[in-house]
Amino acid sequence: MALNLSSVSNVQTEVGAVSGLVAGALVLVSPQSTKGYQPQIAPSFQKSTAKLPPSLLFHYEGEQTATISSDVTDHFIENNTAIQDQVALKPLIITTSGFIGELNDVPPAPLAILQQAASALTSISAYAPTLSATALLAYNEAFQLYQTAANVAQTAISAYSTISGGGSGENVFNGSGQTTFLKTQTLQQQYFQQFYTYWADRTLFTIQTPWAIFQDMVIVSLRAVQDADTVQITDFEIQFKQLRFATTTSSTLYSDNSEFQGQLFYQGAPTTNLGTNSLTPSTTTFSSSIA
Amino acid sequence: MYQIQNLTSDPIQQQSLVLPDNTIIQISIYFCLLQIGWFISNLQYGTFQLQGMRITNSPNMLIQYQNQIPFGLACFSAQDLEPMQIQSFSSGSSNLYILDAAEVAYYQSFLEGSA
Repeated sequence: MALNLSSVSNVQTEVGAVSGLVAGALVLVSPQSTKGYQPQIAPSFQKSTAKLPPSLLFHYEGEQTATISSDVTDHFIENNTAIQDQVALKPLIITTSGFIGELNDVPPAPLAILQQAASALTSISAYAPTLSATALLAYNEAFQLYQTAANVAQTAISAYSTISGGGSGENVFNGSGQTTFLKTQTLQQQYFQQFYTYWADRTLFTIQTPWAIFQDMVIVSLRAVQDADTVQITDFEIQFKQLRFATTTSSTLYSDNSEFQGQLFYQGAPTTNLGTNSLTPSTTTFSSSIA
Repeated sequence: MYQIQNLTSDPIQQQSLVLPDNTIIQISIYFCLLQIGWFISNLQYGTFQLQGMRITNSPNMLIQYQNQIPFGLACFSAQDLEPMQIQSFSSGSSNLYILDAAEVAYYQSFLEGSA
């Protein structure tokens, strides 16, 4: 992604000055928009026309792994050779990682189109150098102003919280998974809250990986790591497992039992009505039969 | 003793039997492969109703109901082999009989050792 990084130092300096943060602790991350995590609608609500929840994107995509495996039986016979007679396919496992940074160059929605234009024009800068530089400069200035404004707003919120004794912006999780949402959350808190809610709700995901798109993936483990170097970024390591769904089907009961075998052949047989019959005396007597 | 005729090898069958006094017995039987045997799914005589009785070789399978119904039901098989094949009745290896009241009483006295 083409971006004039010379202005970043200015942004960092200004942000540090405004928010009181140490500029050296800030990390700039770039978004990778080709991968994402799309929550699905629960299977029991497949017919719902509700809008899908928004996709989740890390500010930086780390390592991704897809693991497919199977269990193969080994039965050892008398001559110590193994016979394999069963192959069970295990569910697909995807492990992904990425991090969320407080300072990033993910453009806000109003500037997204402008950033795309700047990037596209940069790629053909040899043909339109004047326009490219102008567009890039316009975007950088707009983004810088946005970052400055956003950080000023963040500083104001922090100051208000300090003065008024308001909430610290932390998530509160209890055993039943309830979440207390406060307005002064950092991006890291917001993402963790989203992931936690999706994990608690057993939400299925559609995951776009470098190799394929996998559906019906559920969170097996989520590990959020904020290392000792900075409080500005959180690494997320998420492991997904693919679910398989079994459905029941019912078949039409045939008018005869021609489609059935075994006990079903008899159970599914139609009732034979032998009509009304009169009784004829037996040729043998009862007393002789029990003698 | 009256033999029940017309039994076939159909797994589920029903018929109405007209007794000499013109009363009617409605009987439904079915063959159960897993149980290897025939069962009375329903036997209706007036207000008397019997459901789910296995058909076995017996001079009177309904002896315990002799005070409620004026007839009995006997099953006799060749070589005392129980009716456990679907062709048991159609082949004649087993036969079902309706006993009249006198035969029911005779069997009761036979059991009591007085016959």
